[in-house]
Amino acid sequence: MTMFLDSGFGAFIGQNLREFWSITGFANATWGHIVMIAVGLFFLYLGIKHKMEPMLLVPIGFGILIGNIPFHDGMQIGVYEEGSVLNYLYFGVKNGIYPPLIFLGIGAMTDFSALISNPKLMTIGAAAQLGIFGAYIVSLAFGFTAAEAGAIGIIGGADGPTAIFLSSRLAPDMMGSIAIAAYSYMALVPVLQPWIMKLCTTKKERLIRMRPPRPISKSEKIMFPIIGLLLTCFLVPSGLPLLGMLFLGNLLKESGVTKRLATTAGGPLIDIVTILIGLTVGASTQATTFLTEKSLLVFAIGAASFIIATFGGVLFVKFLNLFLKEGNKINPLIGNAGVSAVPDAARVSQEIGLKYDKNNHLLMHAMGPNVAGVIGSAVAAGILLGFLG
Amino acid sequence: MRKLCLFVVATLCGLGLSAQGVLNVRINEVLVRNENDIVDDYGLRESWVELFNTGYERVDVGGCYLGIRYADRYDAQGNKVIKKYYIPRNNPATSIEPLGYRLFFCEGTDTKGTFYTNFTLDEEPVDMVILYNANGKDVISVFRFPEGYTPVADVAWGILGHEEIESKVFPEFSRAERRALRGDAYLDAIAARLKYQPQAMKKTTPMATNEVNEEVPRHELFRQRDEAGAVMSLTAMSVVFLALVAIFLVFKLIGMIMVKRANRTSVRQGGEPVVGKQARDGGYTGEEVAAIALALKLYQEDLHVHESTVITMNRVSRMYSPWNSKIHGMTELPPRKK
Repeated sequence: MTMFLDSGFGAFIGQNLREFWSITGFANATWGHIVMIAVGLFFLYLGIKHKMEPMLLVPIGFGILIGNIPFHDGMQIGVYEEGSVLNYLYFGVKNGIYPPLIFLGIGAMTDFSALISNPKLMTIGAAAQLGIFGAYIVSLAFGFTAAEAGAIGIIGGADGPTAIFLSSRLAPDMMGSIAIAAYSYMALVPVLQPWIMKLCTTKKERLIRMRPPRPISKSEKIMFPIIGLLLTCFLVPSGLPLLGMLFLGNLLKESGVTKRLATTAGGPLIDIVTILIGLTVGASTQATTFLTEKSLLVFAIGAASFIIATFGGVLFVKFLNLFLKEGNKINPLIGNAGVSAVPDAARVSQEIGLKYDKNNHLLMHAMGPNVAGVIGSAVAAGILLGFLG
Repeated sequence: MRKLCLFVVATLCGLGLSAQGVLNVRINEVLVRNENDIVDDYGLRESWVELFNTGYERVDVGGCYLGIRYADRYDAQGNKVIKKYYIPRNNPATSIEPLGYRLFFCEGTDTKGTFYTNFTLDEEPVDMVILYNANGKDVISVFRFPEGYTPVADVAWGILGHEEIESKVFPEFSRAERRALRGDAYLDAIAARLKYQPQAMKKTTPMATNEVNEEVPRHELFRQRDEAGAVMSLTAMSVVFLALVAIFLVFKLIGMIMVKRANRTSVRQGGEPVVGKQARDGGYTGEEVAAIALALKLYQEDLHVHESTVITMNRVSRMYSPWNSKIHGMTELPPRKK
């Protein structure tokens, strides 16, 4: 054996094996890669075992694994290496292409009836955007630039595509951590929100029964995306990519004459884009760029923004109730749904509501502020982009 | 005779203009440690000195001297050692256009061309770069690095703050002063009296003006005006509310119109107002109606009073296509030779 290794042929093989070892993941692994792989596995665990936003956490979790396989630079395989396949796919994230497409699908899947029948719920969606601007102020206090603060603040909008869209424009370097924080907290809505809802409401308030929504005519449903687009985008044109696609998707659905387009937008298209966005956002969290002090701060401020947003929504309903007549009052348990995490936040309202009254179904009522939150966060993103972009 | 006088006057004027032209040249920018900045014609990164013609006429620096003063090397008289590079004449490229620039790479040999000096800036501490007139004695421009200066990679030093003609700001000395000042003292006096001193620049600007307008990002301007972010938050929240309240008001109005229309239609057809009545009467809510309807449907599906007793056997037919024909998928046996 020794003779074999000492011989020229043996030495050649040995050198080849050593070279091969130097390009393996084992040789290039750092503790950062291991930490990020553990994070990816945790996301997969949450998504698969606990079914927390599996559509997002599974591709993102797997993307984190892909992005953190250690490799030798220059092999054109990493998400940040020009010419690599992942880099091509990442183009859609980097340039904010995927989020509007996802909004198209969301529009095609969303029923705005609850909102149209009780339009005052719209204001709850606006109040819950307090989280965005609360986080903006906190981020500035921590020394982030105004653009970075705006990008971090949008985590409070609880809308992954909006967060990706805005951060790709305002703080591309921080997009990975912002997107991961946004999606993580969206998945953790059932954990983050209930205690705030209970803290802010009395038992009497939790038992409020809301008036059932009135039936909505087809023409109202058709008018909603058109009027919604004109009103919001004339006010905030910078929100056009998101709001335009959201309302277009909804018009495709409600017009009744473009069923195939609506089915595609709300089905295969959004599925494809969700896979791509999840995978590439996950893969963009390479340990070298992700594990920084800034990322930890982003996570901490992101959690704060969710909490502020929930407080904002619930307390605003209580405030609104001061002016509403008996019988018209709103159950403050739907205030949390103003953060746009659709439909998880509305589901939380339903579950908490049922705990106190088994016949009080809040789901449909909560869907009102929930979809208003989608519009509100897109408008807020447009404003931030307009001021800071 | 008259022609001769004119010639003499014209020649003197020309010489005067020429001398004045060279005086317009100043050492504008110096980069000592070039690690990632521009490369020379040989693809190498060398220290460089930039000359700037501040005047409005073309100036030829050919025949002038570009020199450096070593910070820690002294001659027999106790003056710091100066090393000069003679800028060759008769090279059209040494002529600098009005408000133009010329770069000299300091690479240590004078064999690479006109614009490669015989001295370097980064091997030994240098505290001054000097441009001399064609006689090698009269100083045109000095560029003194500050006390305790340490070269930083890719950080250039340049004259900022003006585009004035150097001759206007070149210090004037009385005859007595000029006689008294010799060697280093004279050079230091010039440097000390210059109106504009070299400053470290945020980025290098070879062959371009040092007056770089630093573009402050929009978000930073915004932050400067609103440090805490309170104004931004208030404004943005107001706009979000405004947008959503506008939709609320429009749809409130549309809703009222729709309800009135539906009720009017219902009344015209001899019925009662329909919309919103259930809730006012305390009757069944939409959810309860949906639950009852679902229960009825499930109940009806569960009823199997008359079971169908007919057994239907349908023939399974497969459409023929050469693509699924088995016979074509089989390999033909090779014919046996007889």
